[in-house]
Amino acid sequence: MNPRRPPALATWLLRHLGCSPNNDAVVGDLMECQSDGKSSLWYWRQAVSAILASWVSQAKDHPWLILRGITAGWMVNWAWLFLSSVLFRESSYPKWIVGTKLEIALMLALLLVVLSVHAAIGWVVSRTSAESRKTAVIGYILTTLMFGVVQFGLQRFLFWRAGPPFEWTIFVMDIVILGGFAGVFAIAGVIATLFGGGLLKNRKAQ
Amino acid sequence: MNEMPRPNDALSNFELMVLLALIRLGDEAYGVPISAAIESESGRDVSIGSVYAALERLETKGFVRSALGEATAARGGRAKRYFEITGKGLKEVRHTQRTLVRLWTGIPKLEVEKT
Repeated sequence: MNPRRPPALATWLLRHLGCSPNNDAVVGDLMECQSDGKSSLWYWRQAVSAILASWVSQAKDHPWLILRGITAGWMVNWAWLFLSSVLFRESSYPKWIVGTKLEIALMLALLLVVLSVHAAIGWVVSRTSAESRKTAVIGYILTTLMFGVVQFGLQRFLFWRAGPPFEWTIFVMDIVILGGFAGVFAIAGVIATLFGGGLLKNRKAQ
Repeated sequence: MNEMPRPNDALSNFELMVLLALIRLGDEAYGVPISAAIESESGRDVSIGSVYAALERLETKGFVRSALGEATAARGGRAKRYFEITGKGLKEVRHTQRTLVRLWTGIPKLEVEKT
């Protein structure tokens, strides 16, 4: 790797997730230091710390705006969870579809709908938190991830408590396979929310 | 009697260091030299992001003002943002200095031992 080229991913993360009003100047400063011989590790550390510092600063300046955005996001999320529990009950799923190509198409369509809902939630959070939109969208994503991890852990705990006799191999496979699916789904959801919240837009440097 | 600053205007330790670095650097004060000056004098690692966070707070309080400077290729075409201390900022630094000196004096534990 060329030591004088700044890590592209760190720059991308800083540009899209950093919410300082001087974000472009921060990126420029880090690039200048990198071209003066600072290491990639130093660049990464500075980029991550700049992102965190900008979140903390914004959270201190506009706590109510951020809370309003996160609350609005959760309200839409709960409304969606309620609606989907009514619309996609097992009884509303025709049995003749099972095992056909139509089932796969339906699953893909459903996935698209779910991702669109995540994007819509991102948009709602962004619109209701005005100038603090980046921190609010990230805050909303962090709360959903925490909620997801707790929910997943609780589900597996209850399953193994009431389910089959415990065996380490099956337990690890269960966690890895289901956790893997949940992880991929969560990453797709995060990307959709970031997209809806406008955090993936490409902006030109000042 | 000295006018007391409003509680929100009180300077944190780091904000005071940033302001002192700004005064030292004069016209050349932007993110990189400010963090380098604090690093060299304090001997601690300084994050450029936290320097900007402090500068933004100080700008909101009216203690510094900023202006965009030149963009260079080494900065990926991004402009520098230069900072300058305002009259209000200078007054606040003097007030903090006086307060610290008054608090410092007359504490035997902090007096330098004569060799």
